[in-house]
Amino acid sequence: MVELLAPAGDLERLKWAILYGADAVYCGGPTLGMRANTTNFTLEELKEGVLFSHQRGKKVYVTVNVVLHNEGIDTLESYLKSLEEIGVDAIIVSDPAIMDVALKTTKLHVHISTQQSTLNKEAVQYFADKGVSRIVLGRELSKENIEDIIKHTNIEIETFIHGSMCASYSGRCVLSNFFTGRDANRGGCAQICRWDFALENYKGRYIKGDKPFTFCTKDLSLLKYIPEMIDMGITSFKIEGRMRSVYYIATVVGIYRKVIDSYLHNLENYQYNKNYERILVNCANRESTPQFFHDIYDETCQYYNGRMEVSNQDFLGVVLDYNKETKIATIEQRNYFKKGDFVEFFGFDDKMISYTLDEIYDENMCMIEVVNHPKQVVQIKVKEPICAYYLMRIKRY
Amino acid sequence: MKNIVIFSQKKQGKILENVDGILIGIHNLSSCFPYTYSLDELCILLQKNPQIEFFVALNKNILNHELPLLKDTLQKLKTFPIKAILYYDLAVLQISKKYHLDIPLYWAQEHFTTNYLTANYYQNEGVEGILISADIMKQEIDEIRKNTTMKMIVPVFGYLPIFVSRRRLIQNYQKTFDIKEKDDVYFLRKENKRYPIIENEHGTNVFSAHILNAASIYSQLKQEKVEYALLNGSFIDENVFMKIIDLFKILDEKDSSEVENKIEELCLENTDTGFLFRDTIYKIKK
Repeated sequence: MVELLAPAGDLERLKWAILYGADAVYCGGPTLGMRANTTNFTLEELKEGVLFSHQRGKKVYVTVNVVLHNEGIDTLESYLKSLEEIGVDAIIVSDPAIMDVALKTTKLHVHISTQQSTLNKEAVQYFADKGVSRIVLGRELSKENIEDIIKHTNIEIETFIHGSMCASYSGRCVLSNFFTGRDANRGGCAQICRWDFALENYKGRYIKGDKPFTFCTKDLSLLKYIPEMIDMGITSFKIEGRMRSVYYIATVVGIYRKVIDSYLHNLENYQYNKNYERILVNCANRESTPQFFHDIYDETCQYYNGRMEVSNQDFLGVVLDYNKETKIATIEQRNYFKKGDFVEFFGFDDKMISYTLDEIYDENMCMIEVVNHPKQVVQIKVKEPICAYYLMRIKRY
Repeated sequence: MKNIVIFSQKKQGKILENVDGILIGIHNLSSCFPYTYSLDELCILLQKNPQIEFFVALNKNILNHELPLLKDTLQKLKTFPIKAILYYDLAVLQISKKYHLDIPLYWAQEHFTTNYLTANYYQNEGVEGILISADIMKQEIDEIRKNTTMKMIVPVFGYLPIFVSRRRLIQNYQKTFDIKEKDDVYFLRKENKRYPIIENEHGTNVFSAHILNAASIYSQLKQEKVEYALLNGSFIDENVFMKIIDLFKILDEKDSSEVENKIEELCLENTDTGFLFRDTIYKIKK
């Protein structure tokens, strides 16, 4: 059975990812992870996350995938042992020395991170021979490349299916170090690849297009190709985005869960749901392509719009509670909404409830017209039963 | 300590008369070299320059379809009197082990060569040397030196590779906006700094805006018995590069700050000491 692997930037998002259908989550521990500015887990939070996940039959992988510097060496073994004690299911590493210490001093499963840019069967075999459990392949591989690797090696293969792309080979970009002093390979990536630049020739003459030069690439989305990827024998489908919102996590995980399940439960008559694609595009607010999967990485994969990223406003609120007797849902606001909006409630089951907001009440059950304060708690009557962890968004389609 | 260089241009001129070794890239298997060589060209260079130590960088990320070429190249290089092969992709190490090629290898994953534990891991794998990352501080280099017996190459001069992509980013830009211009080297300009950017059929490489000038630590590296100093002449005028090589040769006799200043002058004040004396930020607090 293929695994759906979701990002978990913190304990809250871990729970959302699990509840919305992830088979496993990956997250950063208190040290040596690759996202310095997510709210990484403390060991206590990791323990709680592992318990929450294991109670539901799900797994937790912890990233230990920074580029190791001398200063991290002394505490490495004890840190890995503490992860083992907590019961994490695997660690994700890019440095073979961390792999070596983990395999020799713990019983942790080791996955090789995409930071290592493993792109061929010989490199895969190198790590397989060392005893690692899984390779997260580099994102530069075509379908045929991945098939060839699976055919010629005997190890679990994980591939990215959705999210942002590095413009470079993972691990081979230190633009961030040089432009901002933030260490890209120790979790400080400042996404310089999304900046605009002037391109000049050797003589200093400006090479001018209608928009400025940038490295910026469109996102990856392989939603359409999930059935063939399942048939290829890929072990795990990874969603990028430890810094993404709960809305993004719930939406993306939920949709991929539905696609995977609907294919596996109906191999012969599976039909692609175009509406899911529209929801994903709107959720990320960025264009996406299959990228290297179809061996296409030309100008059609680049972003030259010179635009500012606009945050998604579709996500309206989180359901905190639902009273089955009064049919009142308690909702925490995340974006402005008002009476008369056509909204949709969706949860981790298949249910989607479309609904026009006729009545909105504040916490004292006084009727209000608009909900415009961040995290404002309001009450809304929803006739069909929902529950906590449901989300409310603008209904567009 | 020996000085090895990356050529400033494909024709080496008199550079080889003044250096101990060279580091070259091979067609289709190397990254971050403005000029690469065929094996036949390498063979001629080797015959003409028996006094020079040749290092070959097979530092490209390798795809499945390139494995036969890599294997074939490694088997041929085994018969060449080269000093070592520098690798990025683990396929190089795996193929060398699998076919018992017994070629001296140097670990050269440019931004990963940052600690002695991993250096010693690779040494146990039979790897002989390490090309030290240009992203670390001098004190980190010292610690690596103290804690490993691996042979070390430390970058001391030149533009530094800072980005490697499989995407052809210049071509993509030119196609999008219908720009018809072909040059070997371009520059990205941002905040008055110019970053060299080159592209070939295997992708795009970007280099630092400033030229690393580590003349101030050269003597210390020598005292610490670092085996090799690397001077990268890419994008540097050949005559200027020749003078810089000469300056590094006389560093023992001259005050290092004097040499440092002369290099600075020759490079039109576009040098710095990279990250040798300033750490990068890696914990962003909310």
